[in-house]
Amino acid sequence: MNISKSISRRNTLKIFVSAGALTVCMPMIPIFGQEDGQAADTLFDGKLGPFVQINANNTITIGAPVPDMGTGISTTLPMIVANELDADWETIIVEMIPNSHFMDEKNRQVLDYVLQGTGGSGSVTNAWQPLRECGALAKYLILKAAEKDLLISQKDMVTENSYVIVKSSGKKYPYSAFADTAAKIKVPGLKKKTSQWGDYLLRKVDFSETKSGPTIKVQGAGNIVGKPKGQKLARDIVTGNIEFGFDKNFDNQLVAMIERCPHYYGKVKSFDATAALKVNNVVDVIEIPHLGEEGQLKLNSPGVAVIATNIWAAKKGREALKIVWDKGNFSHENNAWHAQEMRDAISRDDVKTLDEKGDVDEALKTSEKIFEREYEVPFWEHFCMEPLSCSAHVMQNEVIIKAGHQFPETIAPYVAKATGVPFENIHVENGRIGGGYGRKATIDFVSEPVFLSQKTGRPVKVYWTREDDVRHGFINSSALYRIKAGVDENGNLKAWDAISSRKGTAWMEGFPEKHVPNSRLKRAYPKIKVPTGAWRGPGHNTTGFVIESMIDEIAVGLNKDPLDYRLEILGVDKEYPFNSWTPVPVKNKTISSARMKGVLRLAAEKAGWGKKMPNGQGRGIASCFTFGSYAAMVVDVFVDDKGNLTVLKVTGAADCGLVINPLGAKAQMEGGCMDGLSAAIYQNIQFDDGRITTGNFNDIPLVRINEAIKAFDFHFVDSNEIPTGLGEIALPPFIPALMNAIYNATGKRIRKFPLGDQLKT
Amino acid sequence: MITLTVNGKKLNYSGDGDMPLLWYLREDANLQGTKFGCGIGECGACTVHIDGSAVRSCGVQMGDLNGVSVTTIEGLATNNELHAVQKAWIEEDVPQCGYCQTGQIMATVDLLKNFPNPTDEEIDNNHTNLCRCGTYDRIRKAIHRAAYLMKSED
Ligand code: FES
Ligand code: FES
Repeated sequence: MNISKSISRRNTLKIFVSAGALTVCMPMIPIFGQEDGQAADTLFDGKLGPFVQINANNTITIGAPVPDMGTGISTTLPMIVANELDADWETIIVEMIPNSHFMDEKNRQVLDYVLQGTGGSGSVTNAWQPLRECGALAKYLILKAAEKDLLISQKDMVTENSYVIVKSSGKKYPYSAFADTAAKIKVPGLKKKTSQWGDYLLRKVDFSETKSGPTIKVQGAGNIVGKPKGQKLARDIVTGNIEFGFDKNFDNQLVAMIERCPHYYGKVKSFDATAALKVNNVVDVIEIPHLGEEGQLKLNSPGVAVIATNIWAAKKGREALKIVWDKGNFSHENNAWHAQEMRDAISRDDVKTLDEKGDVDEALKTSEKIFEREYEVPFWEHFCMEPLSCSAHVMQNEVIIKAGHQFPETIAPYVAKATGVPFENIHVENGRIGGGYGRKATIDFVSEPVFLSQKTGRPVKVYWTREDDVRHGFINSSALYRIKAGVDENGNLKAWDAISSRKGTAWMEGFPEKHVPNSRLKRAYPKIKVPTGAWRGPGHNTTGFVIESMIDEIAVGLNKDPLDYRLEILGVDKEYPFNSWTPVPVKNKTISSARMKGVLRLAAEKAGWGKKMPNGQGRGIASCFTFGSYAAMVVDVFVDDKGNLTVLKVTGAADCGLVINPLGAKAQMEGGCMDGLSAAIYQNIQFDDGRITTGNFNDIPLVRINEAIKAFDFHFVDSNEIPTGLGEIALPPFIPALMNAIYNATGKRIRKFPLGDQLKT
Repeated sequence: MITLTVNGKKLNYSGDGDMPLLWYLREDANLQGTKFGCGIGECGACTVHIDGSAVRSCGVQMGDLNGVSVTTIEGLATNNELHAVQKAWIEEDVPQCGYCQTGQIMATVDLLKNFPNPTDEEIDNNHTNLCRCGTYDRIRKAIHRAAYLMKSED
């Protein structure tokens, strides 16, 4: 289609319409509707809704509003919009767009259109409906415009691959031919409307009051959603052309490296900067205090910053600092102390009962067989491939922040408070995130450059080394679990008594607790001060291992097939309640035993569960419910006679509602399993003197290609439920399935991580 | 004064001789496709080619680089035509976060010079870059695909 031709035709039509308006065109008015209401160009800066821009050459630029840390969200979200818009995916251009929010008259932060943070596997679930609506709105406007320009009823039109096709004539018009008109069409009832969405206020595009307004496709319809699509930004990634947070700079910036107090909750006692200041290109040395409120949990680690004109000078300057630390109050903490404290906490009287039903003690007394086990997991680090960094320029009445942050919308409220600069003058430029896994969700790495820019009056970029990153994180809590389970003479679980001792909740609610007539969940509160935070599948990441290993132990102890035993416990199809966190606001949260059994059966069927494994090989199964999605894994391993482990294959099934991009979905499952493998076999963060002593990749091996899982086979349950997350759902069942496979191969039950060389002794 | 060639361009350097090439590329030459991951030669995120061989640029000092020729990820494609390894990476949809991938690609280009038709075992023994997103399965497939593409390009 020749675009200039179509435009000139449109102009002709316009002339015709205006010239004959009074007489000829009167009957046309009902088609156009009354032209009050707002047009897209005034509501959305000239675009057809917040995320859609039709370009002159009929390519369509779709804005991706959520930062991508490897989840593929910068492809997934535009797919949702493009699907609704009947766009040609090949010519879609994806553009990351900055976060958009404002303060309302009551001084509350309102986010525009979708939640812009990424965490808790909630990005797709949260954005699904608003993005469908945005795509539908754009298509609606294009069709309206086509009607107006061509004087043909839209009943005679179909849309396909970014073209409007007139059915009766077979003529094709590119969307771009109608873009200008579409942006100016006034849609009575179209507005933006703010409402509560979970913890947030969200201002969405609202067309509920438009008459015969946009219609959204039936879930699952369309040519793009559900089809495997490669990542739109792949070319930029493989050419090194994409900006990560670490690559964001200001012209004329200063560069800082900070020697932070290695002892958590310690601080600087005194320091001598003489030698540091003599290093070539070092311009200043500034002490950074704790920037959070007094008595508050750690915000940042206090320390001394060396400011230079380049990174190498800052690093050398930092090495020349002489600092005396005040170790704070926790220098008694080390790995042995943590292990003991988790045990001691279990017998203290602040242990809380979280859930209880039936008479657990009595049921245990009358059980035919008792299984009592203890499991232990050490601290895990994020080890994001991209270390932290952030740059800030604090000016008189404006602040610019550049980073790769998982929740960019949390930056402005902090900075407004810290600097006194009004919220609306704080601008955040968020880069791609080189791995987040929960680490880049906190404000600590933003607070430091803000402070230093205030002090120096210049833009300052703070670089973290790998050691800084490892030693000053908010990491996954160590955990100790004890479970006592009783079964009756038929092997039915009749008592389940479980306690967790870890910082942060373990989320043991749900399976199998809700299926056992007598159950009790307790939580102990070890007084461990290690700064902890979100880590891929918080709580579930260790609890999945524990519960699914325990079930396996019982099944094996009863001589039952581990798959059958799980299906037996899950019993008849039902919805059972749980109260762990979910990324979207849900009332009456329930888990479906049918969907859980569904993924178990699907994974088992695809793996050929029940077949005899060759010598040295073993197979294990497990399933978990994490943040709204269900996943089951069958893992095949080989352990040679020296105890060397090879993970031969993972066959997995997931039920995460409608799958938007199967290719990306599989990537998330693969990544989750690989991360689980590294965590289970290697992760073991070392402490001494109230500080982390593990520093760099030479201190801790992580899985490389030679130890990687050899093959994957993932399947998704065909579902029309709303899409739920994928980034965190593979790891919780993968780890126990791996351990159950190892048991199956070797007879060795792993109850304490890391696996290390436990198979070798 | 150090004179070196980066992606075909002659450049001069007169700063600290002990500064790693990595920081020269990122800060002085403004080539940020080369990444920092560990600074101690353990991860491979900073892999570039020096005189045609893969080197971890965090471990080489500027003072030793007089007269050498450096190729970074930005210099791998020729006239907008991607290198076969880059093509294979896109076709296998390898990257997740993508941070390690420029290093993975630079390492693979060199690997394929030594093993034009690598076996899985040769890949295991010779490709040692870290990927925290766990894209290894797709990296392996992309290496095989790249080997194939390079043969058909010849
Ligand atoms: S940064 Fe050079 S090997 Fe890791
Ligand atoms: S793709 Fe993220 S570290 Fe490799």
